[in-house]
Amino acid sequence: MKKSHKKTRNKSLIWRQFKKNKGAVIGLVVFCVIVVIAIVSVIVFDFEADITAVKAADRLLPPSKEHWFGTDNLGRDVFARVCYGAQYSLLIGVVSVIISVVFGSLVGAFAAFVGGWIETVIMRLIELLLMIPGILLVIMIVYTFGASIPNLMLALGLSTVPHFARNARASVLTVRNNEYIEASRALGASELRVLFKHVLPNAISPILVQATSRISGCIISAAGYSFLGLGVPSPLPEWGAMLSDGRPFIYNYPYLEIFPGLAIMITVLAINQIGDGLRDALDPKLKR
Amino acid sequence: MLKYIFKRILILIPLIFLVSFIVFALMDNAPGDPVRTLVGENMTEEQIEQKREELGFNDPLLVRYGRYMKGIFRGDFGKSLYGNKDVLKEYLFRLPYTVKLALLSIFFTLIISIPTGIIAAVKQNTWIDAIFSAGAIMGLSIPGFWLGLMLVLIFSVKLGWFPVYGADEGLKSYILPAITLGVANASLLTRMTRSSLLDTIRQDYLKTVRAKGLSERKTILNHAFRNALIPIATIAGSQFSGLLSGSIIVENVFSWPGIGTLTVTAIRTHDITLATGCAVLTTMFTAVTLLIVDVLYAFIDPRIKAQYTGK
Amino acid sequence: MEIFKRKKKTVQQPKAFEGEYVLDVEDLKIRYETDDAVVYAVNGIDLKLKRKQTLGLVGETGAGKTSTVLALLKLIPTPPGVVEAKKILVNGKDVMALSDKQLQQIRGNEIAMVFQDPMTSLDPVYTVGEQIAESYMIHDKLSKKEALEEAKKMLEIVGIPAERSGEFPYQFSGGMKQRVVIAIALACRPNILIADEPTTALDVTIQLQVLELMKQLNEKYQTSTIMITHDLGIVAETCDEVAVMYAGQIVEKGTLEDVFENTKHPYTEGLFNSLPNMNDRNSKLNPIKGLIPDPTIVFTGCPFAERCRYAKEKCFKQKPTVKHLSESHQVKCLRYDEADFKIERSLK
Repeated sequence: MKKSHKKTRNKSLIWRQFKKNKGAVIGLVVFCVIVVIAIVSVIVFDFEADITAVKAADRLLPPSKEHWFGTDNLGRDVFARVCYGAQYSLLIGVVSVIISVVFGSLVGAFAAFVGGWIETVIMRLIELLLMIPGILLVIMIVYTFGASIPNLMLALGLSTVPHFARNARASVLTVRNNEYIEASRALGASELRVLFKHVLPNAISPILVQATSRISGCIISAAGYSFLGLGVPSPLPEWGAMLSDGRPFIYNYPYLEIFPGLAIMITVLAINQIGDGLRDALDPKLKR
Repeated sequence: MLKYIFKRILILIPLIFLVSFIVFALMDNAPGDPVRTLVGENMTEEQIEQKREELGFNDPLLVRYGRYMKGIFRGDFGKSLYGNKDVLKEYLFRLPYTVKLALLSIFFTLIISIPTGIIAAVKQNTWIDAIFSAGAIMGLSIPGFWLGLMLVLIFSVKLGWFPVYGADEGLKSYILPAITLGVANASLLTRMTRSSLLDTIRQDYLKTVRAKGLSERKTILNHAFRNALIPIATIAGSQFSGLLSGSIIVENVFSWPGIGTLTVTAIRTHDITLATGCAVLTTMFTAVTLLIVDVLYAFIDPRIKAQYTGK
Repeated sequence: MEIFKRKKKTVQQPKAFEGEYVLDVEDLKIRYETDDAVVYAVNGIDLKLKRKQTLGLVGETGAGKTSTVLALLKLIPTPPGVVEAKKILVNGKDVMALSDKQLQQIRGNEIAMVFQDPMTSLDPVYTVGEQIAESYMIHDKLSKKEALEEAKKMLEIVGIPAERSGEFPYQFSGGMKQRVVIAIALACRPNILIADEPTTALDVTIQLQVLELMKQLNEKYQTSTIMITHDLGIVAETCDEVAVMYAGQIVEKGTLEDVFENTKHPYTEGLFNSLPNMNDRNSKLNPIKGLIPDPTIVFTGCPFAERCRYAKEKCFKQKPTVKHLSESHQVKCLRYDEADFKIERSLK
């Protein structure tokens, strides 16, 4: 009873601190708008008719009242495609990071708890994996298993598992060795209880902040890989893929390259602002 | 110190084994038949099979892997499946382009970030600080390759100041791609510089220095900044070593003759030997660059030097 | 040929000031104006330091001791800080009127400071030799080579082998780091030394060594010293005069004998009473009830009134002024307006 009261008091404190950062709040609003657009687009637009159907007569029209962002080389409305494409970036960003955080934290926490030579082996492996450039890993994985959304998510997720694993292990170790844990143990608390009651809440804050910045990183990366053709497959209107499609026409039809890129930038900017706000709100020691 | 360097170099060995194994295993399961693509349309099944046997593709994975590793340690990374070019030679030919680009890029990053970071810290919480910090967040949010495209659009296509692609026009060719690569790093480094300087300014030893009668200017320059430089150098160093592999997508935008485009081409054409070679070599060079950066770091921070020498 | 030989620069002689008081502060007030509140750190104190004298400045954490001495070097950061005083004379010069350049000339040169925490007082990226040498380069205008030579001599004086001048702070223990800080402070032979709790962060055994060192150096260089501490034992060992601070004011001031044997202020009495009784291990500890007051509050009466066992109604309403009990001894307590007021300690 008392416990939950304290938790909600903490949460509202964090929210209040977050609200103070105007940029973060705007970011949150924009992010919600983008999510809404993504959801609404799936309902409103018909995949066949609006997104992929070729309309030869309408090729390469500049932005106008009928086509706010113009049309692409296959006559498709760019605005509709950009809106529809939002879901891919959001999904890929969030799911990849969830995979990373969950697997990474499990591995890291497991290593920290188990200790001994198993921990050493796991940590050495992780150190080595960290030295392999992530880009290479992702490209290879996607290439091997084919360019598709789940594969991309998996590849992006796996490439940052070592990073989160190391963080999770460090968190568990520091908190574990803290004196209040020893006190808790002295009072007879079991290992599991210690883990959930003490280790987890303290480890969550840095993970949350890192995860947010990873989401925006993943969105940019995913767009990049799709740009290379090693990400979301055509004809799905992923923003990076759209940039790749429009590239041959950049000279005379630059709007094809401007709007999808802007979409990526605004989304990532919003998420970065949220991340900043979270970091300030969660870190009690940060003096501005 | 030498012991430390030696230990770091030693780690490269298991690293090479690990990377090549991962790549090998992956590429083995990749779609498409390299032999078939290699020999083209006009061979019969038997001839293809014979070619496969000849090239050793029928041997089990571990055997091929073992053969490959033996080759590496002799310095032989094999020949690309297409054009039969020596992988190592190809790679080393293209490496300087990527390295030079990385150097120019980190140079841009440093000359932009450090002054802006310092100003933002000194004028903390004023409108100047707000603008620079906002700029930094924007810079972090722009997808690198899109920035490259936009820069090309404005400065090459519309204004004609720089070449649209390639590395043929000397320094002019390097500018746009270097800036593109540098923006995201600069944004991060500006924020780092700012927060590092803000941290150092609060330190106690500055009180001792001021009480000695040192001018404010020298206090900040010789003491505060000198210490603030340490985390900045770390980040810049790791950014630089990340540029070797991180430039892949941007190289593609600018059709840059570097190792990034080589790797992507290799993958796209199912050229296993070339792709594996690129992956292993890039990993190795990144690790070596990181080692050099770490050793240089010891000269900036005497405490790190102590760690390395084991005092 | 003599005229062409570059005169070898030597370190200056210890500074000498001819006036009576090397430090003369009148009505010093310091407040910090922050976004949340105004913190009144120092509320009108007078301080006079004679030549070759050691003054102990005693008080709990937050009493305003550090702020007071930082103001002497004009090291209070003046965005949040506001410093007001009738005069702050250091060797006869009014610190408030000096330009930055003039201030830099006296800092470290005529008046020097030893700070509290040796672990964080030294710049980690310069050798100890370089840090001491910096003082010589600033004030005596020595070249780097000459300055490093002098620095080595200074290290020997504080008890550190000269060979270690090329080592970095992290290679020294806390006690040795503090010696380095002392070396930096005394390098240019200032005639005023301010030591802000120089031994608080050190182990007890090391404390004694460092205090001994400081006493020796004081003798040798004839410096006038302000020793800030909350430890009455240290005061007894090192000081000629004592000033007791509470809530930004000096509540009692006098010679060592005045304050220790003839204690007058209730707060000072409380400090002595709270010392553990070494002879009776079973006796209870006697802390002063209550907490030090909130520095953002401006008091209408005596700031100690709410914790004082002798407080009367007038103590809460009227501000006490300085009462001279003898030539050396003064106290700020309204109850001494009454002829026969005595605190318990006086009755023993």
